[in-house]
Amino acid sequence: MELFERTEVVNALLARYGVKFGIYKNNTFHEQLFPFDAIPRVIDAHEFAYLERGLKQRVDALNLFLLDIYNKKHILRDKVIPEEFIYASSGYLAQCEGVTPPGSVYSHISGIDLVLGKDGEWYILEDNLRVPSGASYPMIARELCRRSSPRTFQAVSVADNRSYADLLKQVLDHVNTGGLTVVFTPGRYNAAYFEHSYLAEKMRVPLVTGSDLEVENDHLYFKDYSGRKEQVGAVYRRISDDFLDPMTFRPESLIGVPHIFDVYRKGNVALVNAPGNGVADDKGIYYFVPKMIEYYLKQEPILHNAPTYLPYYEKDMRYVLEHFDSLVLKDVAEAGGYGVVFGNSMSASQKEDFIRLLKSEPRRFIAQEVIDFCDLPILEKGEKVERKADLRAFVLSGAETVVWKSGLTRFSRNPDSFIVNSSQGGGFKDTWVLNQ
Amino acid sequence: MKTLRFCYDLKIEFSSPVTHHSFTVKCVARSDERQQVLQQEIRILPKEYLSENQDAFGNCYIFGRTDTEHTLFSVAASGVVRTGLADSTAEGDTYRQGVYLAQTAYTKPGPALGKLFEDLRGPGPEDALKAGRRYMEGLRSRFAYVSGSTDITTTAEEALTQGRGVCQDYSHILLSLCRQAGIPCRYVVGMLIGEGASHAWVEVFHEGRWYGLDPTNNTDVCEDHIKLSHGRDYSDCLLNQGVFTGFAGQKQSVSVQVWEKEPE
Repeated sequence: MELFERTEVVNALLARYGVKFGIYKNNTFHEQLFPFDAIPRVIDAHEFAYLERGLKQRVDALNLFLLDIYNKKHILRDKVIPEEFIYASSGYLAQCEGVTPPGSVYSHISGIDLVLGKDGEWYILEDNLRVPSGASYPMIARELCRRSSPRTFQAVSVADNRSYADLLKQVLDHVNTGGLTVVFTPGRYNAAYFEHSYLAEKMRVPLVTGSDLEVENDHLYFKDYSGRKEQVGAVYRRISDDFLDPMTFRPESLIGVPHIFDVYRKGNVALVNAPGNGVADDKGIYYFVPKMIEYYLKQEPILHNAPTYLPYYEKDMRYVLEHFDSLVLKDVAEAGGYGVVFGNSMSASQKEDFIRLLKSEPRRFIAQEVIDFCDLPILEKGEKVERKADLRAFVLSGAETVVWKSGLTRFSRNPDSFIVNSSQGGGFKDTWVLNQ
Repeated sequence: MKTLRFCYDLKIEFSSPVTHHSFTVKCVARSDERQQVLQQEIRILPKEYLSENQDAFGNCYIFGRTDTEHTLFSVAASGVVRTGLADSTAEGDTYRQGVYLAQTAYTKPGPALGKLFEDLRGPGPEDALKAGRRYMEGLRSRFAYVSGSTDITTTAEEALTQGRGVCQDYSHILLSLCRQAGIPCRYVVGMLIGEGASHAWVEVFHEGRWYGLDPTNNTDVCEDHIKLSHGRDYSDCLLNQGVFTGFAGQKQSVSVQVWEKEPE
């Protein structure tokens, strides 16, 4: 296929456009290219329709859960989820109690990670409801592939994924409380700075940092280079909750905006995604998402979790200890592929230490069956080889919930690794959703 | 029942001029079943704008900013409050109080608090208020009030280990004990009759109502207390917070006076 022969061209263009991914290691910032593989993941229309139903259902339930947790707490009253999984979670922010965000949407952009098992079933690996990144990579890759190999896209009818910016803008417009929409970046040294600038450009909205924003008289304003102030109604913020507002969260944050949270509490600006979402994408809460779907929507979950055990429950702890070698253990507080260990990869003494830790802090870990998921072909030095890959689907919630007809497919470059996170040095593919 | 007058004065002096000063002030008394605010005035200087809001715990606060260069920032609050109208305040459902049950960075027990809890814990089941009072009583012989012996970063475990502290430490220790016993409880900032600084105490959740316990004085909260705010611990009830631009040292002084108003 012509497209595959142009892989190097596309990668060279990606490098030129600055499609990079930053990694902090030992407190220093390294930026590296995000290697692109030209063989797309292909999902046919029928299969995508199934994923779409399942993803919408899941994200709708998660949004209802967030609204409930920060307000009436009926799911706690009805004892569907034990209280300590909420209040002991680092993602739960008491400061968000009693807030109903504009449009009642908490997770406007949800990045849901899935894998296709060898049994032909899709499994949800995790929900990312805070600041999920990655949509820009397949967007720009598609753009460059279409340019370098236009005939490919004449021959195959692939759903256009370049509409992502429009979908995102519609969500932001829907929750906008009056005024500008902006993309708020922590700055040049953020891991996903390329994405912040690309999405701002594609949506034709200002890309701002903390010092461009200011609160005055109950509203948020954008100050332009001439000192003129214009009211802001929606902030697509790519800065974490912790650093958002030094008056409410970490007081040492220099990249936040003082009092932005106060005007948000008053309903005078939309923050996208809403602060406090971490309570719903905690790896411990993941276990309860199918129960949320049943509780809030009175429906059977369409998409399944990977089989998961909570050592918090005695029965599950026993199972985990008996099947330790066949499980993967995850620290609920960690993300980006950190804090993940495979039972069978530990030495005897490591295992002993880990089990001691597990017993003293059972709430801190989940255990999962290792899913044997499908390999996807990638090109390595012109040869096709098989590697582990996952899919991050993007679900957008505004007036309605829609699933973007594409997604970020990440693969591990190491043939022995199951961890595909870009922060662990993996590469990416475009995801084609066929029109038929 | 008493009618109390209060004056709360906060001054921050900067060693050189600062600007772009954003601040949040949480020293607004609110009427509830226990106290009725008859009159209240708050003056903040300098300021370009001020705004009022309610926080996640239901406290009233004032926020604002000033871009004017200044070397002195001051908050002066004064008012008249009728106190002692009830011994407690009603609250909604028990299942919604879980946020006050989780230990925080300030109240998290270590060996000292764990042992104290074992020493003081009751022989059988008892109600939350009785338990809270017994923990408070138990603290009397085990902890001493020594002003200046701790600072605002001291945790309950650290304070208990050294055996000395101020009202903030008494309150954090009592919170830690109650939470170990599964009793929802919260940190309260307010003022006590007399002259001095602001005061802190604890409220425990008992049969749908919040009851005040003042562990520093080993007493139930009474008509001598004016409440300003509550939260999980000290950090939710900061009387004053700020960020500013400038390279300056700062000196903060607080003076609080509460006295009984002569009947008219």
